[in-house]
Amino acid sequence: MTGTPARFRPRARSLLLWAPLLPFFLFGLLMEIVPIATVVTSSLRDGDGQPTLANFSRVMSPVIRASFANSIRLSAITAALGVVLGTLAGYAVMNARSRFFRGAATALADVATNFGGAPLAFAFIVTLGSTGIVTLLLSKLFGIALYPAFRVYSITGLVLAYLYFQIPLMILLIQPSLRGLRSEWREAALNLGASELEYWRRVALPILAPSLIGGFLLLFANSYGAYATAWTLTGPDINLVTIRIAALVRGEVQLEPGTADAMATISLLIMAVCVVGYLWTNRLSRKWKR
Amino acid sequence: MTYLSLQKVSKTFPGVAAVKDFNLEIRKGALVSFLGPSGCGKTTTLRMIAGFEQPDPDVGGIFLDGADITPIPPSRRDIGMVFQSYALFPNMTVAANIAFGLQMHRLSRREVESRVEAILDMVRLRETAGRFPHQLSGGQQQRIALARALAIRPRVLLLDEPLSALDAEVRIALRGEIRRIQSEMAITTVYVTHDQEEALSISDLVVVMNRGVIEQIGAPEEIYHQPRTRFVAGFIGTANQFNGVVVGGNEVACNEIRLITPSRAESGGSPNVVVLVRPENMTVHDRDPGEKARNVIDGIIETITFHGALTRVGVDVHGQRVTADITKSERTRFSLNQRVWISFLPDACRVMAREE
Amino acid sequence: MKKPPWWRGLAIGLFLIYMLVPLAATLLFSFATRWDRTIFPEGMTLQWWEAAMGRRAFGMTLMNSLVVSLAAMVASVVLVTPTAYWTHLRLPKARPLVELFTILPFGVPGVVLALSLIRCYARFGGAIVYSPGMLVAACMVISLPFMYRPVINALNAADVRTLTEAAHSLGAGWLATMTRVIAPNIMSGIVSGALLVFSTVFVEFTLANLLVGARFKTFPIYLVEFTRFDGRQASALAVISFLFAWATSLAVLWVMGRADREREGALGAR
Repeated sequence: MTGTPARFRPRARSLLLWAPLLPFFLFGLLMEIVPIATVVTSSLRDGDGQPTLANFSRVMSPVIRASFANSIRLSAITAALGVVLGTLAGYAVMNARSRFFRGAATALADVATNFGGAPLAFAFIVTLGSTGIVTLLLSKLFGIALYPAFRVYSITGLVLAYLYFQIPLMILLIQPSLRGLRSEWREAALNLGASELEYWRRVALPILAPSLIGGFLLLFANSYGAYATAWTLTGPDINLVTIRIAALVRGEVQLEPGTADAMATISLLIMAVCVVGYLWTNRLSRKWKR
Repeated sequence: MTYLSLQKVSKTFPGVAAVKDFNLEIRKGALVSFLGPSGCGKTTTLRMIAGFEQPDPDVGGIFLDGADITPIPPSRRDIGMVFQSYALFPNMTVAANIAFGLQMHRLSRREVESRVEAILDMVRLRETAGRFPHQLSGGQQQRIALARALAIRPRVLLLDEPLSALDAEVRIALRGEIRRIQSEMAITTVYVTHDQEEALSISDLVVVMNRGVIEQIGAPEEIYHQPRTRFVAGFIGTANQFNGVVVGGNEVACNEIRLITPSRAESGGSPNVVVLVRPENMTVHDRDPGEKARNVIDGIIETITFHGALTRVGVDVHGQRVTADITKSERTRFSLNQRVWISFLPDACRVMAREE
Repeated sequence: MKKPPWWRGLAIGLFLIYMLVPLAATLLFSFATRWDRTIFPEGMTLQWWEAAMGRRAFGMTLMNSLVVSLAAMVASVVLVTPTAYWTHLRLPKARPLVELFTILPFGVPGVVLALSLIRCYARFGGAIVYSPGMLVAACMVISLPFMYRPVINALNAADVRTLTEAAHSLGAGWLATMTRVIAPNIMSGIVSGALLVFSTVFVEFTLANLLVGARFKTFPIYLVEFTRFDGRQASALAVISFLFAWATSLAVLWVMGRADREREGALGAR
């Protein structure tokens, strides 16, 4: 490098520094950026490649609008329930007396949050199906007949199945924040005259709020994108966005391909809001940890 | 007139007796320090006053203004506390933090606002009212924590090592501030610290603790000049300790040395004693001063260490390391391996019983 | 002292029941001769297990899944580890961009990823886009966050910068530093990430279904077929699936636990 004028050296060196990252960026480009860009631009074009918004107007049809409504409602319900139940469960686990139990329960949550898809759906069929174990228990021991009012092959059943991996996910997400709730804050609040309830309302919950909101957003995204569980449990009859897109990909339904692209683009927008929101709440709660 | 009193207070955790038979009477408006090494029980005792720990039942109690506050929960004791980590609520601004206690005490909006302003003026941090704790420096956070505790006009103020997380310079400035505010408001205060300089400089009364028991209670000067136990003598300041046996009257034989002590020796009946002499009470000479009225010992200089305001020499006297202070001007007269004589008055000796 | 809330036991109990009952039910169902009328199975048998595992398709789909998972795992380790290391140590400026690519998969549902890949690469021919290779690459995308995070956490925890400086000051060159100082200390992160990738890809159904479908069946696809066809055999396969996920999760936890203990020891007594 000696002999090279100083003003050339830094630029060449800094470019060389980026070289080892090239494979990764190439992978990301080819497998993430380009395909997504393709689908988004494709949604804005018609069959001849001309720009159009026709695909999006087709998405406004009652059936497809209903699928979005269903997906959003399902995700919101499982996210909300997951946040509440997961936080309560996480709080209960953290206060467990035995350290071994705390570790084991956290490990269980770790494992359970990765259960999903067909095996999970199937386990729920075995448990809550028309001849499932819990169904039989309820009817034989307590005389309660779940069916036909309740069907596990429905949105309700789906909610129960989704909660199986949503609640553990929330437990894992909320634990660092619960641990970060310093006991001195509670003592300081009590010392200043607050009751337990006032402490939770004025201090603890506001401090946990970013994590709770972030958890909701992440759980929402997790539920929205789920496919295998729904498909196994309820089959193609249920009207969810992911089910419809998959059917279009498989060519099972004869519709313009642009529709799938438009649905995908809208879904990406929804997910982007969730992920960005989650990252933002993360940054907020980190700022307070000092 | 006693305002806060602890009677026969003790606290036992599974496997360890953290506080044993703690008895103390504090008059109104006084600043009392609990001073001692880590684990001596000072913070546990403080937390019992605050109500976050309960004393062992049926043994003793804590009384405030004559009433037994032991059964009262912490949120209703009207005792303000400043935590070691400040414990400022991160989701609230400085003003909201201070207002919190006032709102819990159901003050009107106007009263809350005026008190917040007043207390911010008192700690001289009015301009930080709208900021969040993480935007403040350590010293500022500490003052806000103090302001928050004082805003509710508590009957007693408790501080749990409030300055331990700060730089030395900030610490010295802040402890003066705390003392100023405390005496201006004439609020009864208990201050826990392991820093003896802190305790000695701001307290009306110092309680020296060790392993759960009180070693000595007294004014700062009394603690320093008249330590009553070996632990206090060793913990407060530096002291040379000469083990010896009383040989009649006011003479103590410490191996090869004979020391003349004040006539009022406090050794009780035991002949085994330890004589304590502080380095600043010793004078170092480069030749035998030949004085009869003073104690004189001699030895070889092993170390000379510079401590800023003073310089300390370590002298080997018959195998024992003796520490004596010299001034800047004297420094040039001494060097390593030099034979020197150290003299000190009998009054500088403090004699204490020694268990063998 | 804070007292635990009164509902603690109840909450934990309910949580455990909710988590364990479906698993237990599936397990028992796979061994039951008949279990649709009574509270307890009418009899026990191994026939469903034998039937499900006896088919040739069982071994084949299992092998396919193993191959895909292993390939994705190895490729992820090779791709992500040097990238994370280089970014952390030499080019912190690149960090936001790298992390963007690892966050992106969270915002892309499986079906959308499959659609995007097909839309983008179908023009190059069906052989490319509907191939196991594309499946491996797609699985790498969704498991990217799970590989990256443990590695970067290990890099942070091991204080790689200081270790590198110490190694250099003792005379070690780049290669020796990398192989003898850095790699051993972040191995727990690499192994955890690898295991997570492996287990995530193994159970991935959506991408396998949409990208390769009937041409190259993976184990999850095989399982789903049975849910329509014979529930009892499906339950046996589901148990295998659960056991497998459980085993790899435990392995990850064990690796992480050991790394934590080692690190605490190295930091010395506090």
